[in-house]
Amino acid sequence: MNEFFALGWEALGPFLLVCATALIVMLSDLWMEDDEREWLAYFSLAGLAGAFIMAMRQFLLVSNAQQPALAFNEMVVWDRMASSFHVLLAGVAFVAILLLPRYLADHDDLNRGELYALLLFSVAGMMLLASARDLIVVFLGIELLSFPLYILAGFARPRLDSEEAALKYFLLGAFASGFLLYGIALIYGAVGSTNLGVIAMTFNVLGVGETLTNPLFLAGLALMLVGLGFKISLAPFHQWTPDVYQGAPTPVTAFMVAATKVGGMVTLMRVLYTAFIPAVEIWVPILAILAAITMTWGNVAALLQSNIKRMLAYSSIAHAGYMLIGVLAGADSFVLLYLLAYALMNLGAFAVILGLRKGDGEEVLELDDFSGLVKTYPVAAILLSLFFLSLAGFPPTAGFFTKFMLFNAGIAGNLQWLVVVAVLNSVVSVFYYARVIIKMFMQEADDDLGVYWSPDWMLSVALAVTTTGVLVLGFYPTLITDVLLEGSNQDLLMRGISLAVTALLVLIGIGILSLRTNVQDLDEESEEAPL
Amino acid sequence: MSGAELFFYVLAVLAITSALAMIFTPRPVYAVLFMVVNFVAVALLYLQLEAPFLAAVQVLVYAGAIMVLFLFVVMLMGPAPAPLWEHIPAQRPLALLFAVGLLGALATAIRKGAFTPLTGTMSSAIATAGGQSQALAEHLYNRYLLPFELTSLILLVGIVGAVVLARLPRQKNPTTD
Repeated sequence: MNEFFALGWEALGPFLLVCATALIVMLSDLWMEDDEREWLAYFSLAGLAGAFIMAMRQFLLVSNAQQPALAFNEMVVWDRMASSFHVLLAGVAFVAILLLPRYLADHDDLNRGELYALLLFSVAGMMLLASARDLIVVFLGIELLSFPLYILAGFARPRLDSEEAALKYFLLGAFASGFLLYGIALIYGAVGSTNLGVIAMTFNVLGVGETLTNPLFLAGLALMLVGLGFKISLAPFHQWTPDVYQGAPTPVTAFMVAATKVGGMVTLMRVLYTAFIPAVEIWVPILAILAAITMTWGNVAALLQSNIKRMLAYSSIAHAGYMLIGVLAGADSFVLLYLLAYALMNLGAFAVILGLRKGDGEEVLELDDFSGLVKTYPVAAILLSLFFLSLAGFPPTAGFFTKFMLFNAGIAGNLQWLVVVAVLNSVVSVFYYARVIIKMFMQEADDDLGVYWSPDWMLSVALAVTTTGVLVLGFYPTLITDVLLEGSNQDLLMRGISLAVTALLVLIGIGILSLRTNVQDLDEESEEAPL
Repeated sequence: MSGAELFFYVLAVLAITSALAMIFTPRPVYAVLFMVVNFVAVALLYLQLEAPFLAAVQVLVYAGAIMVLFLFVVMLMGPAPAPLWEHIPAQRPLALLFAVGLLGALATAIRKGAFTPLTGTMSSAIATAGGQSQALAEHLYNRYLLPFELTSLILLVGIVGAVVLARLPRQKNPTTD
């Protein structure tokens, strides 16, 4: 029995908490009436907030520890990277849940408890990946991440594009999992273990040169990279991304764009940094070329899109290419920082999109629908512009600062040519982000569209959090980076309070401006009434 | 060629051909039956690898329970042969080309590759544990406890997903006001 308790449960604390929340949400759904489902969102938010606080505490604990702790027979590791990604994932999922109720209010047929439970299970899978130290756990974590997403993509059944998204994602995902699993099997054959730490050690036992020229090992590594590349939608394994992101229900898309990238990147770093450091000469050039293709393809294809979900899907592909620079340079904390900014910008942009509705309750997804938005709803237009400018990497936003740090790390890591490609790509990306901004600010609105802005309070909170994050990371990044990158626990309370106060101020600002537009609507209506 | 090798090759060919037949047959019922053949062939391979417990479980759980379930579902849905569609003209030759290329690469890798011999033999591990199922259980519930439990989570998600996707679209509650 003692052995059971000595497995090291605390290493998976946030993961277990999120799993428990998912189970509670799933069960309590049985006692819920249709109009009480909002409570499930509150449960999920409470669970994720708990996981966030627990992960934060663990992060501060472990940043000052010398040795990473191993748990579950060395299948799980508890180190800074694991805990920091737990913090990030809990936060991203928290904001993603905030986006759901507004959408569900208009889409009654999707309002089921399983939606929250599946989303939480997916987050749990990502958290597991952040602390995985064995290829079996990596594989299972990827399956636990993907299975709920296959289902969530098809949640809007019987809408055809949602069914198409689910089927495409499932078939291709299963195919990619096959590649990953076969790669793991070949690596096991070549090295004799699935444990990442043991693999790194056996390199020296078997001889680094011999292992690196072993065709079995090379084939295994290649197949694994294909499998993982699919998950982070690396070109040329990215073809599923736009279709799936377009077909899935919009809040699910927001979650997939923001969180799946985090899960995929942390897996890639775990596997490559722990096990395959001796093979660095092999995977760095391969992944560098793929990164260059990925960002170019993503950006060029994004130029041609007329649907905003599709455009953001291609933009997410391009961002995966930028992130790989950090992964290849070995700068895991800068990748974390970039992922934080990336998640904030995308969730924010999706929050604005979800707050907009057309006259008959339809979603506003075509780029033309955004024309002249600044005249009718300046808040929405300004916020969306902020997030798009940040995505394009303009100072002084989170996008600029984090991209700058990432490219710096790339130069320090001898990837100059890739950084040049990335900078050129950032210039290209300005075109399609700016196109939406120009439409909003400089074009006349089409009157018969009847676009209106109606966020609920949860969406406003999500907007306040993401806006604050984007602005703080742009103007005063040390507030966050001191803790995240250096693990300093000085003035934690002050930092927390100042972030919260900023978020509150932004929230009040958004609230007042939204109110004013509502009043304007009323005025216009009353003016029209006598006529 | 010794008897054991002959046994292996016959089963391997049987497993591969039944898998291919399962994919290429247009009739769902045939496909399920070919899959049963495949599972039985793999179970016999386990038997050859001195793992009778795994072989028995494979036959009982997969070939027995799960495939019967599949068969029921296929029968219920009506086993109409699905028409094969070709969306992209050059898809099939290209797919064949890439598949053969991948097969060649993997075959070379496996033929030329150096496998790391595992320490200790299966029979000695079984002897120390006091039986095959004991040895398996000790691994499954000690060293591999976490993956074992994770599998149950994934299965749970699968069940929930099947229910969610199979359920008819929700009817609007009839309002009585």
